[in-house]
Amino acid sequence: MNEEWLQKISNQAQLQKIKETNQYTEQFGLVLSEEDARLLLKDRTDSLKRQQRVELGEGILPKIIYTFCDSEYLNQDNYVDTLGQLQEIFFLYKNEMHDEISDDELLSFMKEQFETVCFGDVDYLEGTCLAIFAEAIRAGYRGYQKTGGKGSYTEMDIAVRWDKELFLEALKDLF
Amino acid sequence: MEIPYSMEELVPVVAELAEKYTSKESTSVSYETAEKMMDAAIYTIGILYFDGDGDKNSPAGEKLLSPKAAYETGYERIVQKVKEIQKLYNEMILKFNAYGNENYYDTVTKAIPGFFQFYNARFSPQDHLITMDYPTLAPLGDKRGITAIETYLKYICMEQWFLHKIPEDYVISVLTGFQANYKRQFYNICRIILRHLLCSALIGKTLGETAAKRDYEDLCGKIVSCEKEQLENLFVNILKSLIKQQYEGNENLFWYLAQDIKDFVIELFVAAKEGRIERVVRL
Repeated sequence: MNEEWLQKISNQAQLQKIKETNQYTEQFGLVLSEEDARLLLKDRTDSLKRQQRVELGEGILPKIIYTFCDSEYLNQDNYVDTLGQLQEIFFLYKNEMHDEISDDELLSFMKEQFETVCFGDVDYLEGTCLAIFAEAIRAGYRGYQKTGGKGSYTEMDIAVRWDKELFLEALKDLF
Repeated sequence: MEIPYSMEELVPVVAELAEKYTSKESTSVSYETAEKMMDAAIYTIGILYFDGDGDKNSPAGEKLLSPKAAYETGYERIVQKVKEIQKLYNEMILKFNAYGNENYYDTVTKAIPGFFQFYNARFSPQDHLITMDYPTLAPLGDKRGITAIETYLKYICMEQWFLHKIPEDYVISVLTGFQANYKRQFYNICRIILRHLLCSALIGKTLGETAAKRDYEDLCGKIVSCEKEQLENLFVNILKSLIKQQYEGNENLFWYLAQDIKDFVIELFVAAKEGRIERVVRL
């Protein structure tokens, strides 16, 4: 089928919506200039094409902004780049999870992991937490539906987050 | 079949359909899903502008509806069609007889109800879901979705009407005589009976009398003595006469049964050459 019409669904003016987010995000010291907004929209178009997806309505970017703007790991210096990366991996993982998960559930999961396990590292979010979560969903896991995506990773985290022996060793060294 | 709307004009319809599909829980869908929704929109509007045989309708005189109005009207028509076809099926199934053929039985009593159970008129009206394993005398062509099922069911109804006029044990004896294990076969059983009737009439054999070797020799003789087109015309005339006498001259039934004649004649010519007429027809 001709892909042109697929692009047309997504190519709607969203610039205004992105700029409107500044009214909320500026309290966290985060602001997008017109140039930043245009860059993010271009990233969006490219991401959608790469991931073979189309967006309906106002798109996910405003939601990503509102979800992550209060993150302790975002500052004005890394704001635009991080948003671009989060948008890309959002579309990637909607595909990886076969659209079994809603936008809100996925964003909740991403935010929670970004703030905790990942310590603001988008690469770790993409390569570890989301990869494992996606595998679980493809295998049939639906536990996230009860919690809206929150608290799901603890059930499948493969990394040892706190080690008792290591803790006691460190304590011994201190004293 | 081309509908009078471009893909760009259908984009808002598709976007709304995709939104419903995701229950508004997703702001994006895969290309695959979007294409499926576009196909659904095109199919639904197509129902409005073309009937089941591909002939043009004119839903609102010469005035073109908006894409959204055309889609919604097409959807209502699909829903209505499903109800009509379900009613037709419910009437037909009361007297349905597969004459022991398992494929015929399974397709009509199990597969078709599966269609009614799972058919999604909103998100995949273009999918007919079932494989319709029992072959009909006329092909379905490129029909899809509800129009494919509608046509298929009408063919089945015509076959049942045709076969019900003939005593059941006679039908079974012809089928068994043609092939002992006809019950496990995947061919059209109406064809076997039709061919039996046509050839019996051609050689003037009385129905019900056991066929002798001489009858097959007579038939072979008739075949080799004429051209294919002549034989086709002979069969067409026999069929016309049969339909007029026994089936109220029904043109649809005549058309349906006549679809087999061309293939039948070719098979007869080949079989006559090889001396294997009884593999093509049971007298």
